[in-house]
Amino acid sequence: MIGHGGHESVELLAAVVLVVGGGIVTLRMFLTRPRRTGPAASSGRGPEPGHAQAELPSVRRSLSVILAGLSGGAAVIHLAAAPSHYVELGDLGAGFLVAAAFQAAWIRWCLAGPSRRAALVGITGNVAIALAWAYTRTIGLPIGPFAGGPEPVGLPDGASVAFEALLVLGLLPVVRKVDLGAAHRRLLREAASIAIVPVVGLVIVVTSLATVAIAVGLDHGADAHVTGAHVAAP
Amino acid sequence: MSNQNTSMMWATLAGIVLVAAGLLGFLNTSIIGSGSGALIATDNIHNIVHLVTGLIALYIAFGLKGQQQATAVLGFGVLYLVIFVAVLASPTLFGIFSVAANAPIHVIHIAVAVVSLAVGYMARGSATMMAR
Repeated sequence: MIGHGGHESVELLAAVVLVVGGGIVTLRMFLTRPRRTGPAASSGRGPEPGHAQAELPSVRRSLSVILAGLSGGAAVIHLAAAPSHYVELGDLGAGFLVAAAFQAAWIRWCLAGPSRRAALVGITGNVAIALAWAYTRTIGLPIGPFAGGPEPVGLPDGASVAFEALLVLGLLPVVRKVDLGAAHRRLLREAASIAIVPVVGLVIVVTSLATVAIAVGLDHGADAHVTGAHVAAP
Repeated sequence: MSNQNTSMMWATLAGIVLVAAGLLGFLNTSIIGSGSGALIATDNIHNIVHLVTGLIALYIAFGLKGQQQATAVLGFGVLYLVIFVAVLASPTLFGIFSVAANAPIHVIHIAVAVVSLAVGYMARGSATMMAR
């Protein structure tokens, strides 16, 4: 341990590294940025869409990566939850493996470019999984540690059903045949490409937390764990 | 050094610092951990967030190039802006963290957010002009 003086002297250490390092990087970038020359600069016009967007993925491509991320997150949570639910529910726990397999397999279909058929299958499958979840959280299963009553909502199942709901919402434009490749949708294309990292990043973070929660036996929430209602996986 | 290399450098720096913060947190030292005297107060959940987002930053640094990397750095800034606002609104992230985030944590979040947004924006401009 370090003393109080040392504590104060190292205060903000990690933050300082990022602030100072980030400041240097930003300043360097600002000073070395290429200056715009020629008619475009003097007229104040922006870059031509055709060139500027050449390396950006299309809206359809960005959407498929985001949807694949959501499906992957839900699949990982279902896979992680399967062992403990086999213990609780017996063969009914296979539903978790089926859900995980469906959502994992659908990723490849989605990344190939979400066709209307793939979108309909994705919506049907994920709505069915979400309805099964809603049944257990409102009416309840006749077997298991919460037999006859609704199960509490925890982080893993809440996250999984949120991913499924977002997935279904994201697939609606595909089903409705909205023209995602239209050239005038430049802003949408930029927004969709920027959204990949925050959305997929949050999915990865939440999925990691949900998986840890399942591993420590908190998949039905802290209250259920405290009361001993949940049977943890061996 | 081109702006593309600078954005890679920033993603690498952010990735290394976040991964290091995540790993150090598990060691529960006096600098970072769940102890009452820890400089950067975190718990295991918060450590996982730092570790995972650090790995994402390292993927952006070494797995992407050009316009895609610049866009991803910008997106990483958006991700950390969301994290900053969420943790600022609720230091325990609505009860998920057992240890409330302290000032250095907020500084880390906003620094990563602001610098990533600035670097990503400028790198996108450079990549666009190079494409022309």
